[in-house]
Amino acid sequence: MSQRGSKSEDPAPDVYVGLLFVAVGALLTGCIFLALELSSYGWQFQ
Amino acid sequence: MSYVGKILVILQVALSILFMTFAGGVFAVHQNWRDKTMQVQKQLADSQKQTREAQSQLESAKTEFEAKLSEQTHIADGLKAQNTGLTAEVAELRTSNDSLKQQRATQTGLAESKAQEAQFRQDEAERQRVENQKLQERMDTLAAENRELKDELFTQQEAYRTLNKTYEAGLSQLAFLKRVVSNAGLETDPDVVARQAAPPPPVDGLVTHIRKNRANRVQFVEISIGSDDGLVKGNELDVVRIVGQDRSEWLGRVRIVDLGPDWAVAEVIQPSKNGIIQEGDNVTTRLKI
Repeated sequence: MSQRGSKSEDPAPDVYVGLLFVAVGALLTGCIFLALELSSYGWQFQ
Repeated sequence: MSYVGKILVILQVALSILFMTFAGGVFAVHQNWRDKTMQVQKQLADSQKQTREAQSQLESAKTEFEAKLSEQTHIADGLKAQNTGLTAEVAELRTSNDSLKQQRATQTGLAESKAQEAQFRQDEAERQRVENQKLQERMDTLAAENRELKDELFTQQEAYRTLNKTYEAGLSQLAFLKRVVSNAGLETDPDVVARQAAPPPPVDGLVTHIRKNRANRVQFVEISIGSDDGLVKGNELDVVRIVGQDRSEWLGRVRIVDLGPDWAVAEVIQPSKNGIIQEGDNVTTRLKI
């Protein structure tokens, strides 16, 4: 991690950055499944 | 990155994947309870409607059944009464049936006799038909002969008419000739003529009257025999006078000119020179000169 105000270059992405992208993709997929589930009920919650 | 940051990242990745897995599983195997609720409510409404319709039909059927039951009850009462009447009628009909059976037995016997008679008549009709056919053939033959005879009759009638005309003409001519012959003083009867031609029968008679002419000679004599003795006009007789037992005198010959049953008038055709004819002299046809 670089210090604030420094002009050092961004560190090279490592495996944890890739894991974060995987986590983002998994969250988006889960949100799509839930949206499809709600659309089958007509977006009615009662 | 610190050690704690790395752990959080890994934990975040694991929880995100777990969230995606649960969301996908819910979406994959979920059931739409709303649609099922709507479908069940619709089925319930349909069932309730069908139930109401069935109840109304049941009520109407019940009413109709009660009406029919009442009607059938009346009908059953009527049928019971009819049954009673019909039972009595059946008894009467059985009695009638017995009598009819007896009549049928009688009629069966009669029918059998009639059938035998009909068979006999049929056989007789067959025989008569054969006989009729023979008679028909004979009638045809006789009809043909009848036609031929009619033709021949027509021909004969034509010939008869022709002959009748000829006969009538001959009769007229004969009557004329008879008048001519009669005017000439000759006989017209064929029998008389035949007997004139034949020799007179052997008879004897007497002179009953004489008549003389102006010269005082005997011209006509009347004799006592006539047509009953077989004489006819034209017969010639000899006049003789018996003067003794073995002697007679010939006085002449006379010819009959008129006669009756027991008399005749004759004319002297050959007088004798030696004697004169007088009343009471004999006349005969037996004399052969």
